[in-house]
Amino acid sequence: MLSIRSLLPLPLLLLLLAACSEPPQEAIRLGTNVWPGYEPLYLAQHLDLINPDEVRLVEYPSASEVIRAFRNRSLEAAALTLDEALLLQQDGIPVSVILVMDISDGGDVIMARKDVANMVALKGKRVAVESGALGAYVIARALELHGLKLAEIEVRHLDVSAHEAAYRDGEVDAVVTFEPVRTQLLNQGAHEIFSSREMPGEIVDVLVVHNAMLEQPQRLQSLVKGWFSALDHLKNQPQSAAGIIAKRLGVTPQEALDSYQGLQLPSRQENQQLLSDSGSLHVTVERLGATMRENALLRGEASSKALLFDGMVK
Amino acid sequence: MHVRIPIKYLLPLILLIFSVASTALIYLYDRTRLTEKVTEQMTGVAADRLTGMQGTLELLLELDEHNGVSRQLAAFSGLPDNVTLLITDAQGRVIASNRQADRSRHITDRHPEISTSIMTEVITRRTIETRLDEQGRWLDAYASVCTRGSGSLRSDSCGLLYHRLDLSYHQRIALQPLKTQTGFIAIAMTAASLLLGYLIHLMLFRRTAILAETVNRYAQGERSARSGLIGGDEIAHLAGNVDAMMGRIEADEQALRAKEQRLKTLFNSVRDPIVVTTLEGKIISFNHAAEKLFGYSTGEVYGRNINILMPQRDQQTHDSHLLHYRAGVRNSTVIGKGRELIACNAGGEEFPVEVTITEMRDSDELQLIGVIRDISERVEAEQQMRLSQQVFEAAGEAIVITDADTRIIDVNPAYEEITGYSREEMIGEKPSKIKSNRYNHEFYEQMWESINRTGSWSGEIWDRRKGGETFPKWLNINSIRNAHGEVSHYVGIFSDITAQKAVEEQLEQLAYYDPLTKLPNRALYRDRLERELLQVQRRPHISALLFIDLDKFKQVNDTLGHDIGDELLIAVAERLTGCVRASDTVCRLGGDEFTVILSDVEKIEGITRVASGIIEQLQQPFILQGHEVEIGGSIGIALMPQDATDFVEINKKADIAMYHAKASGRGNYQFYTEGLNG
Repeated sequence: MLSIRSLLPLPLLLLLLAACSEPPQEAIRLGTNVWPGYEPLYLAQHLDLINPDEVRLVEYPSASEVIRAFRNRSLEAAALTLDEALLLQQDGIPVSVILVMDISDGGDVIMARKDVANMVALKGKRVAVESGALGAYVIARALELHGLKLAEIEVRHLDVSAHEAAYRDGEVDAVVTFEPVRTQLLNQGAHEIFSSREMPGEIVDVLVVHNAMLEQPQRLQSLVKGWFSALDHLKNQPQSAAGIIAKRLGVTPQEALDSYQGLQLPSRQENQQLLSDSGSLHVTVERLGATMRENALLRGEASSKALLFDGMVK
Repeated sequence: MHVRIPIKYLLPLILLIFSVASTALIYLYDRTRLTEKVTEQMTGVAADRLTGMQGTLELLLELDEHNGVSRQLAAFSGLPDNVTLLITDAQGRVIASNRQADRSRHITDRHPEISTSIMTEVITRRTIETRLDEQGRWLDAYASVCTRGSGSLRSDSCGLLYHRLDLSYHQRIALQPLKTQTGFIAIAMTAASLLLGYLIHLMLFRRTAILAETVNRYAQGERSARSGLIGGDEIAHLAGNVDAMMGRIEADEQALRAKEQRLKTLFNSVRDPIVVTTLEGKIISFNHAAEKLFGYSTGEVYGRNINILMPQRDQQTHDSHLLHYRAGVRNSTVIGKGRELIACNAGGEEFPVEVTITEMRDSDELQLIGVIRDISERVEAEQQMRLSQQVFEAAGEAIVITDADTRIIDVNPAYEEITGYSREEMIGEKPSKIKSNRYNHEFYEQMWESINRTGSWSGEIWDRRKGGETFPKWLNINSIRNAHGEVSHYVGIFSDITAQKAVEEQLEQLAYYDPLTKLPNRALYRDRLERELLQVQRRPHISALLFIDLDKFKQVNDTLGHDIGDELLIAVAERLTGCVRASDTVCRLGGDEFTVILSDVEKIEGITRVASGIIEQLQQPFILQGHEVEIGGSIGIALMPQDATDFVEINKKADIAMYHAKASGRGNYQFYTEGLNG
């Protein structure tokens, strides 16, 4: 007996087959500005330690543009400073810090002309600051540490990409900047009047992702793995690594290696300690948040628990 | 679900419906998916566009370059999907828009579709938000555009960047290939359905129609119908099996018909009449032998009551028998046993029959088979037998019946009476038990030779009674032959002819002997002489005829009277007989004429010695009633065959010789010689 009912499942089966052809996942877009602390990412890319189908590195001229792109969801992940991550959290964008990439120990600086001898001499001077990003925090902390007020200096809002030109053209007297601009400006005769050595552990560069990304941890895990492999390479074969890194930074290999003097690169174990629930980074975040609020850089409370996630470095 | 549409149309129809349904479903699914994809993609595009403009617009606004802002917007206004693209200041006033009328107007006046809550959110959170309207057609993207104040590090004032896209434009483009493809698939599916229908018709229905038509013809009786479909598919296999089945049925039917025909032929060729009836007695079968016996054709008796084959007086009885039988009274004398009845043929003639009735169950119906045997001949034969037996018993003649080995199997009372032997004594014996030993072996051989050759023998024969006395009988023997021509029995019939024999002897005496002297008379003399004449020629020896003439007999007769004369003649006859051998013959021809035939004498001396003896005896005196009488005699002798070979001649020559003897003096004998004839 031929039953039409028995034929019914067939179209459904076809639909199921059609539904099976899911589009492939797109690569994670990871945005960075130029900063030695982020360079191991490009080293990993150069050494094929990360899969380009899984992670695509996107270069931006400044941290401000990285933040914009991350906010606008043009990026799934971003290499940012911790204070920048707190800004995102403040604006209600669900983000997580999954990796501590470096801790600045002299890499972030205020460079000034020779005639500006020290921080106190900065009073009334024109200072280039990337105010949308770390620069605002650094200048605020530097002024605070040296007893100055923001109103006592003339702030020029300039992204890092414009710093060297502004200094060279004489548009500004000092620049709140970081490597490799620091080295470039040193070469032009500028001198360092403040560095992150004066506020150890406060400037932390981290890998930030939209929380939605945590639902697909595999690619992030392999990214993290690639990161640590690149660190190993940098540590074990510094000359070879420096050659690769120097080209991107626009400095000599030696200068590139020298720039790592102002940085700490935490290992996987150190990362686990930093990011764990009882890790020291929680304290750093709380303190950083408090400092930022005091300097009108942050409106709300910082929540280290919501921000830090150690699942990817385990 | 019962399908009333022919499969021929149903299968392609199902395929068509299935194809259309699946094509439609796939189309709907793909359309939904494509629409979603387009929406998703365009959401990203909208965000990207705003992201792309955001930084530049912020910079231009910071530099107060409103012309630049207008140009930047104008560059995107021309996008084909663009509906609205505008930028406001922090107060919501439109700085630039692709609709020129919007300029300097408050955004809420011009664009009620813009959500103020989203606007507030993107400005405070500095994110980009997108919203899709309920119909999925309009995609709205919101972004903040912030400018830095110079007062503090982060004292930004933010306006709104708003963009509305028409998704239908992209959906149309995206769906176009799908529509084309779906159209092609639909056409291909329809073509496939039609092709399938045609193929099914060609491979399945044309052939099943042939098969169905063949089966139909077969069902209507055309037994030679075959589909003849060949091939290796299921239909051909089925058709082959159906053909084989039909062939088998046809063969079976033929075999059945042949069997029926054989049975019918058998039924009709049986010599015994057979009549089959229902339990009610209705005739349903009537074979040829029955037709012949009763003089009815099958058509005449079919369906009629069996009692028409009986005399009217028996019909009612038979009807009541049947009634009892149907009522369950199974009379054991009826079924399976032969009964003798009187039947009646079409001409009303009655004749005896023997009927055997058996029951036969034919398709659950009980029938009766009557096997009839015309026993007229048997009855007649039985009567004949009884008659023969009576004749056998009552016959005055003795009858003896033997088997082929001549062993007696029966004798009748007359036999017992004549022979003195009882039936019991004779049965198993041979008839020769009573033979008289008068006959030699040759006699019986000749008798049997005759019986075997001609089938019968009759003649006079002497046998011996139980008491030892012999008796003559006239016996007639006949051989009885069976159907194969072989002798099965011999029948001997005889009568005691002792009395008849005595009469015959008396008559012979009268005819051939002289009553006075008891000597052969002239007739017997002639007979014996003629026989002697014939026999003497075949023998080496001679015979003689003697004529004797008595002297002085007339004187005796005249003087002493006839009585003495007769006594003299008797005495002469005795003396003559005493002079010859038993094989010789003395005759008295009449008066005093005596002759003697001497048969088979070796020498002539034998003859002369007899002649001398006779003359001597006749010269001796006779004493007759006290009278001494003296006579004498003369003898004439003729020799056979020297003197004559025929009766007349020998008599004449003996007479001539006697005459000469008498003439030459009494008491002489004279041989005939030629010289006597003078």
